[in-house]
Amino acid sequence: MKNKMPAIQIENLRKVYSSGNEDVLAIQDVSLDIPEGKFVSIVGPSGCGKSTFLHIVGGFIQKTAGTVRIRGKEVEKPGPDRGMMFQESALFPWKNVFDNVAWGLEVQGVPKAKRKEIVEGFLKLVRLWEFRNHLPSQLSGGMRQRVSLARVLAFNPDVLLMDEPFGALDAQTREEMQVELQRIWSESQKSVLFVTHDIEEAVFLSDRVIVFSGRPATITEIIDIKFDRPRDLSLYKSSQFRDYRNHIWDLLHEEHHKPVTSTSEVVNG
Amino acid sequence: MDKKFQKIAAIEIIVVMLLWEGLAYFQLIPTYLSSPTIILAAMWDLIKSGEIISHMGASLYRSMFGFVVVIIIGVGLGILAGYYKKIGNFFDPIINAINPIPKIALLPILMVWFGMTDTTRILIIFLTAFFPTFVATRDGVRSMKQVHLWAAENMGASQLQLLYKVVFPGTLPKIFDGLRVSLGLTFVMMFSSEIIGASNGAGLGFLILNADLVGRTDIMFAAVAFIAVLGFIFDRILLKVRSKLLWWDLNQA
Amino acid sequence: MLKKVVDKVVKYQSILVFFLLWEIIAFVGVLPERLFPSLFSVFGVLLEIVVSAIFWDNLSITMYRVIVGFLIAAALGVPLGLMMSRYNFLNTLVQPMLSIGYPIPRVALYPILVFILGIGSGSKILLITLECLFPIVISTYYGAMRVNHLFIWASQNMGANDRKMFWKVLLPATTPAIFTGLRMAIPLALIIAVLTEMISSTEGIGYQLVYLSSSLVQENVLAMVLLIGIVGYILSSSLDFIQNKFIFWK
Repeated sequence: MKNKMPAIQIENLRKVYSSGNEDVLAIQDVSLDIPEGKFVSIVGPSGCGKSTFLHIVGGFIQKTAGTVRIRGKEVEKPGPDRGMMFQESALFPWKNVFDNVAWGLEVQGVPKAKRKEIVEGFLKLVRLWEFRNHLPSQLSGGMRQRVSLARVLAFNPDVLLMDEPFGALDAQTREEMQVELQRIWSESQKSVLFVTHDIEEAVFLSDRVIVFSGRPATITEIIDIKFDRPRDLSLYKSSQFRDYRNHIWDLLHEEHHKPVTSTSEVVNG
Repeated sequence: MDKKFQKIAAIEIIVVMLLWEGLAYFQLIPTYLSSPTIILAAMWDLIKSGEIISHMGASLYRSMFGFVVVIIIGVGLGILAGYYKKIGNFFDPIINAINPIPKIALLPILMVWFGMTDTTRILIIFLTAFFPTFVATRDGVRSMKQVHLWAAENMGASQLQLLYKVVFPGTLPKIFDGLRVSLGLTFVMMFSSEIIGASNGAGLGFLILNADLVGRTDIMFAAVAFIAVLGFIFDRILLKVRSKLLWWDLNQA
Repeated sequence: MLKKVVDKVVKYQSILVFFLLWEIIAFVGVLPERLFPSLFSVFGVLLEIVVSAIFWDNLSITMYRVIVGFLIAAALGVPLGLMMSRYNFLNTLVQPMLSIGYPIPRVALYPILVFILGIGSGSKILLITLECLFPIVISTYYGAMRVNHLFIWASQNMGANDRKMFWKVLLPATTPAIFTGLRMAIPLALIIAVLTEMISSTEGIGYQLVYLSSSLVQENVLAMVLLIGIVGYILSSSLDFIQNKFIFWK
């Protein structure tokens, strides 16, 4: 496993926005590897460009320079090799839960019987099979995001990209979702790149946390989180958890920081 | 409109009719204002003789022909102009330039080119009804949630699939808002194009025009009633289709 | 500077394309010049019409109808919409009539109105008023409904009397919605004026348009249509101007 190529490989990614005559540097030459099967989070101050970063990896936004590779294959535009989950529900309001999850399979031409089998499997995995005939508007925010997760998993992407998927949920639902996500993730064995502004969420879920600086986004530090799995919510109370949390908090609140630019440090798994 | 409203509406119509009938009966209003019973009799005569079928058929042919073309071209172009920035930018100025012109003023232009024919009438119906549907569709597409488009692209949808499986259903509520205005205009222009530039033929507008010439206000009222009923029924049909297609839109009016 | 000009050309390319296509068709002579004139000669005719006294006579008559019909509709529709939001009984009476009347092509009543009121301004003003009432009443009503609960809370809270709260809170808070209604009504007023003048009239710009078209000379018709379009544009812009002056907080 160790010598396999990384699931996501990002080299010298740069994003410049031009507004009028002014050029704004949003992301400054970020290099990053996500090893196969690992859960990696990006945390950073709001507006630092971490969402933009993820949207570029997803292929939704054009990058200015650098390369993004998924399992060695360079990407330019959105594609089903990367399953993207958004902060707000991206479920289609005109389709019920079942049809939403089946949608990706349908456009990819998966036969109907096979579709039903896959959808049933993933809706049961997220424990929402009973709600298959409901409309998204009839579900709670947490349930909607579980359907979104099932939809993304259903078309079997190589990697999962998650853009603050629990950001719009209340604190208690969010904690429940974190446990759920961990359970589902460990069953699916996918590589995940997860963006959040919630330090505790990142520490709880991740094998590794990448700390981004403010604009322009650069990598401040990379922290490996060494907790056994499966993790449960009591972890929040452990002193080691609080050490991780406090350390990242300090990094985010440092006025001046020295960005890490050498890629060798990043690649080491 | 809920049941209570329907009941009140029915009562209101009956009260007005009775009042009108009473005033006519006691000759408190001039005879050219007719009366509901006389108008109903005139309507019945038109139905019995079968005359109304040809008038209504001709009028509906023109209006529905125009409206169907509006659905196809208005919605189609609206989606393209809303989704593809280049197409939208191309069309926006010319749409903005033509929009403030009262479209009825374009009728004489068409009359000079095509004469007072059905081509002219259908074209003016189309030109007038096109704008609300086109603009509503275009703006509906532009206000679509970005994540819906991204999610579809993410799942590997092709451009065509994106347009007819995401953009079209997502914009449908706005499209129906536009279509409802367009449908109303369709009937307005149907009547107007039939009554301007006197010509003989079949159509509810001609029926009014000819009744006017011989001073038969009862037939005029009868024809107006037929037009009103048509306008009302087609609006109801559109709303029915809308609620069938937009069953998922839980906060629809 | 040059960049700005190029940007403008790119932005308005569709109008340019339309213009060029038109001129090519006119130049090649697919249709006789009488039917498909060059736009340059149309502009020439347009200038001739603008300097003629007949045009201004007709325009003033049309404007008189538009403005009087519109003002009556505003004077009736705004209070009606406001009152409907306050008195449930009135709303229950009027609402069904609005929803039945809305989809009906009301212009079909025009020949009968002419029969009753004659071919002059009366029948036209009445139809304009009727047509403008719908957007004004509906928009005012829904606008007032949205601020109504605030109005009631505030008046209960501060103990102000109804009259004061009406003038100080409900009316100003509803003003944007009222203007939305008026903004929808003003083009309708012009459309109905031109339409009714085209159906039967002896004066007004709609009449002048039909009169010019009877000569079957397209450049006269096109010039007149352009002028009517300009009138429509000015009318809507002036209401926008008033709106911006009144609703300075928006």
